[in-house]
Amino acid sequence: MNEDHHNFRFLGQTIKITFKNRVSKSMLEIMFLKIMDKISRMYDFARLKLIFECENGYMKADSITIAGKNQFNIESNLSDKVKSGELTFSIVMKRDLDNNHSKHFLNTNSYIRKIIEETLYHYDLPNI
Amino acid sequence: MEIIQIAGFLGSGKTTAILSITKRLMEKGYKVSIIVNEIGDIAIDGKVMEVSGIKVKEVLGGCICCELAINLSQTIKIIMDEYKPDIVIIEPTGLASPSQIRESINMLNKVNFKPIITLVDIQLMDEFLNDEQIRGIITRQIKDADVLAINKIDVVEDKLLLSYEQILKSLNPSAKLVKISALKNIGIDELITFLGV
Repeated sequence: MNEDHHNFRFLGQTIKITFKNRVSKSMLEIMFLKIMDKISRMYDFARLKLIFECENGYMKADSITIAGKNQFNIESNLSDKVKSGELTFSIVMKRDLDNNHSKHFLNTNSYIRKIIEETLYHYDLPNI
Repeated sequence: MEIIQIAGFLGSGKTTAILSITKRLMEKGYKVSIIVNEIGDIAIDGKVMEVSGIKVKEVLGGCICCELAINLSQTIKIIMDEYKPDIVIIEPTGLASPSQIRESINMLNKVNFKPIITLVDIQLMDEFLNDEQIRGIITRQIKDADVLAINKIDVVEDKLLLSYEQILKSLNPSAKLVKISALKNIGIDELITFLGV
């Protein structure tokens, strides 16, 4: 492996989600924005990708955060409300513990999963 | 079979650019397939490309410029046998060295390498070049390029664009420069012209 690749960490996970009620595309978008916003405040550098896939289609979002600047993009081919699906995230971070909050860095997968679940709960969309 | 490599750092717009380029090439009648590489085990971009009806092969769990170089050659051979495309577009990870990728597949028969395109995110270029750990990666990707595609021109001022053009020219004087917005489909035709397909 190239030496500079070691300066980065690559994580990700898939979470099965069944919403309590059917959820609109705009609500899913708000949830994605909230997740990206929380991640951008957490890390000095982070490349985040999220995709929610269900039988109606998908919603994909990605963001990049560096030194307090943040860019994001969301796209979707969903045409209807969704009830359940799979949410997959992947994140690339720098290994530099001084610039990334170590307490969150140690178990990032669990932490991001927690952010997702808290965000769902916040919008009254609990994962049942 | 033609091989096009579209490199660039994380978030530079590789997937969006590849989708735009692929759609144009398919409209011209070319059969195109894409190889997407992720260092991690989770692939997301390939899923979106497949929704667009594009044949995608994913190489996961390492970088094709170094530890998975052999996997890349094998994947290209599989695509050639199974799908017989006119063009294969490679999307490396955002950390990859484009010249190392070309070297690793240089020995393949019946393939023609098109110029290496490196996408540069003009909006975050300053932050990347000021970051000690990222500067080296970006600089190498810029120096390895035959064509430098300055992406996201729709969100920066012309004055800033001009100053970054000078920086890019100083880092790689021989590369051709093209200004694009992959998201807004600006400059994609010009970029394809540079590829000679």
